[in-house]
Amino acid sequence: MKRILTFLSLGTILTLFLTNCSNTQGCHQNLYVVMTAGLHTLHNDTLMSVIMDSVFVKGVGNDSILYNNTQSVSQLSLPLQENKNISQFVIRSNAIYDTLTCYHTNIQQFISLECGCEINFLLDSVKTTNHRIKSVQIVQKNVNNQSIENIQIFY
Amino acid sequence: MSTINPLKIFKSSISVLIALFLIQPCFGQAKKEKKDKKAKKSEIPQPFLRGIDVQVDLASPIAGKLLSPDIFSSEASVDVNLRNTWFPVWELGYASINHTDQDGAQFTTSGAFNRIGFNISFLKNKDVKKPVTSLFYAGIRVGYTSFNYNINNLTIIDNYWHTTQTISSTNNHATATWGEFVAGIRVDIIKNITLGWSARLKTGLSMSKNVYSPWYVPGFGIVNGSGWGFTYTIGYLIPLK
Repeated sequence: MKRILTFLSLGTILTLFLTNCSNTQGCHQNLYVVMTAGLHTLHNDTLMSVIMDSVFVKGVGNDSILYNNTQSVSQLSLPLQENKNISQFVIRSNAIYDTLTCYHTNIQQFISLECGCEINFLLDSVKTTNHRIKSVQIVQKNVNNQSIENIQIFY
Repeated sequence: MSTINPLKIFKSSISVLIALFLIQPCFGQAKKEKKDKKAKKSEIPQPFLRGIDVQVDLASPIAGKLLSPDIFSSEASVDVNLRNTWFPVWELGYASINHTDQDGAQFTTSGAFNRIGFNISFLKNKDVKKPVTSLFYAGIRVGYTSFNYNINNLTIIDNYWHTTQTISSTNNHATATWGEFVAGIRVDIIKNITLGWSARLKTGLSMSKNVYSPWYVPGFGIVNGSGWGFTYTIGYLIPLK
């Protein structure tokens, strides 16, 4: 009888202890995906990077400012809309405003129940107003968690 | 007073040595007889099929109720005792899950699972008269399951644009295979009734590809969990030979 009780107690303690230790919860994965826009200029048909000061950027219809008079900017990280297929950004430099419009397809990539989905994007087209910006073009249409230049903005 | 004669000592020593030399084969003979007896004993063949043991897992349903009320899993196993050393095992179980994550995402599934494998007893039991009832063993398993599952209320929150979207994916089907390393003990408590405890490390999960992969696989457990599993069984041994 003593042997049975010892066995039962030891087994129960070990099972409860190890089951508790084996519980894992929460998401520890970075799901933040942004589109990277490089700032460039063409000088005698040579592509050159542009470094700009006092850059202000925010999403259209969004109060959250992405860049607020930021100095020495040569690249912009722009979060695309995860639940819509169009994202618009106001970009100001030297007190001149432009609006960048991106059309994209959203690709839901399920990670896990805890993390949900990571949203990657496929850039369909981009356009801009031409107050200060001259043009914009897509160089890498797949927007994912790899930090590579997706579009080029020309001044 | 007698004096010590070196010649006498020498003669006596020689006599003792000769005597020892002469009786040495007798000791050898005794050792040989013992060895022969042992050999004869081990020559008695261990019957091949010694017994069948049926076990029911008690831990999973009880621990599940106490620690994770949204997970119900239960299993039973049958193993065959071969020569008191090898124990081929078939484990059959059923799991039913209704889990809601802290963000409100819900995962539901139910399905049966199978595992086959074998255990090896570490205890040297050469008693040919009866099948072994108490065991300390290690073994391996291969698991397989085919199941349907649903994912509901999966919310995509866009933190910058302040929008949310809720998606669901129902009637997904998946098949999965995996491997397990098992170690455990089993003790005979009353005549032919045994209690057993085992710990197992589950690894090498391979699943059919789905856009929405399952959170839990019946028989394997939580996909992104630690991979550890425990059983606490009660069983009945049917002795055969």
